[in-house]
Amino acid sequence: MNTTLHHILHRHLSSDARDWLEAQVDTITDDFQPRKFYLAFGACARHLGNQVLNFSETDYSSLVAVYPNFVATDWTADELGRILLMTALPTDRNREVLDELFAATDYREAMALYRGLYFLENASEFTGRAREGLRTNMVGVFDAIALDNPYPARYLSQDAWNQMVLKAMFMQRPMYRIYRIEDRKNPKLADIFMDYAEERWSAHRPVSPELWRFVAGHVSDRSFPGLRKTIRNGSAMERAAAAKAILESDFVHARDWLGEQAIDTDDLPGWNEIGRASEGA
Amino acid sequence: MQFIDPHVHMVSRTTDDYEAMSAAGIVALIEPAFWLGQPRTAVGSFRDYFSTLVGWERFRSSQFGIRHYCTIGLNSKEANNEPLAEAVMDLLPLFATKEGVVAIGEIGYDDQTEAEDKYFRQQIELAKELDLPILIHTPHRDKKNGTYRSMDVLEEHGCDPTKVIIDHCNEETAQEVLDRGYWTAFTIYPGTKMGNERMVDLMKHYGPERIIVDSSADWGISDPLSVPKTAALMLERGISEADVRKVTYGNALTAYSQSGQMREEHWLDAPEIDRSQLFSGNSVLRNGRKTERADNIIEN
Repeated sequence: MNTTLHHILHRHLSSDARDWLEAQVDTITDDFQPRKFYLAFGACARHLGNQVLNFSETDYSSLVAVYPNFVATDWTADELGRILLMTALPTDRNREVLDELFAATDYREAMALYRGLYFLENASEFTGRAREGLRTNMVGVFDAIALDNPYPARYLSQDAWNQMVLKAMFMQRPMYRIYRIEDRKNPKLADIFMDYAEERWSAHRPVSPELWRFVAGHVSDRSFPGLRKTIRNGSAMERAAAAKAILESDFVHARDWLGEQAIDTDDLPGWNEIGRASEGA
Repeated sequence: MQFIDPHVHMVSRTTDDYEAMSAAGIVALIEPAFWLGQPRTAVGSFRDYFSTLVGWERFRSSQFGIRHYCTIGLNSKEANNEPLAEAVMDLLPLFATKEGVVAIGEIGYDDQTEAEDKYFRQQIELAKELDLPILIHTPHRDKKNGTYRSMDVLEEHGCDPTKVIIDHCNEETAQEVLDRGYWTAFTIYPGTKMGNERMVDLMKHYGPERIIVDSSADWGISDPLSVPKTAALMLERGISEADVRKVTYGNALTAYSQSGQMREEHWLDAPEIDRSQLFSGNSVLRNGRKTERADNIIEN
């Protein structure tokens, strides 16, 4: 069981909720039976409530030590209760028990499970599950894995990571909320995104300025024509993003060309700022 | 006016239906677990179906601004496949306490066989254990006996009739169901159940107390706008708006809110349909498409 989460959650629950959750934890750790775990997991919403918990700075620093990026989103009482219960499962059985549960979740349960994967001691054994989850069409469930969650960056293979990022773009998700984008950028992904951009242009559809973040660092003959086109014809934000992509790459030909354009490159917005500005656009 | 359709099988309906229902004022619906028009042969089919009810269909509905609730249960027809029924009974605890599950149902009788009776009784006990309302499906054939027998069995198990909805009632069964204190639901389903002119007459006869109107729209020729259309006809034929509201909104809410899972603020305080949940690719609403139709143009 994750003791950090246990101690902190303990202090944020009402006494009734705490007693109930402790009893469930005891049942799971003393005499593990799947049925009791399933009933308790479902019943968290009824006993703990779905209010957002307010953590102190000290709480956050402890939590971030076990779950990077914990501070990025809100967490509700029932969600963390569910995650605590899942970390209380015996690790030699948690895949089998959670597979059964994953096949029978309601919306919020699914989100809690995917957001909680990182807390598991054997988190690396759940990459197949995470990939399965990413095939969902339910936006909240997809977001629970792809956005703000430290799991994909740490555990997904490059192909799985690229699929996730590409799907996030298809789903018009706020790309800047994908955790550790910069670390996991790769030339293959940059090329896939260029294919995607060309498909969008052929269909007379706009290309998100956030796309250029994945090309930045990997500008080549493959992407240069598209970047040129964007800098010539794009909106202010698209131009800024394309210019940043060129500046962050060492493709001299493109940098030289950019220097000749009437574009002010001194004060370009940050990628997160570009992402936020593009959100819902 | 705002409406609740407390019995409609949305897994069989298209997005056109969702759009029309939303435009007609339906703010919430309940999708009872039932059979799918042909018998399932494996427990996994039930698992995926229940999972759809608590997950995907609930999400799909939310994209049209309609709150989706469901009931979970083994229907009477498929209760006759006993090995399968046993396996489904083991699944029910996994789903019965999910968010938005407002009752155990629809359960009761189809052919009134021994197997149907056995699983009906087991599910009554499950509802009592979880303190959930019960939705009763009354049979097409031998309806009167099937309806009375259902109530006898419920009473034998000590059920409180104010926590039970008896559905698919008609002129022949309504009086007894009302007299015994149950919520009395009528399904406006052309051909096999009843048209809405009969419903107007029933309302004039019985008044609005404990009466509920639903569509039971499914994979057959049925109408997901039965509830708002019936409300319109009632108003047109002189029934007061307050009474119409009771039978097309208020009574269903009172009956099913006893589950603790359905509250008016879910839709009254709901934010606009969350536009961030619209996305292209394989989703329901493609690429921020508008819901109004525009001649022969299919939007890009």
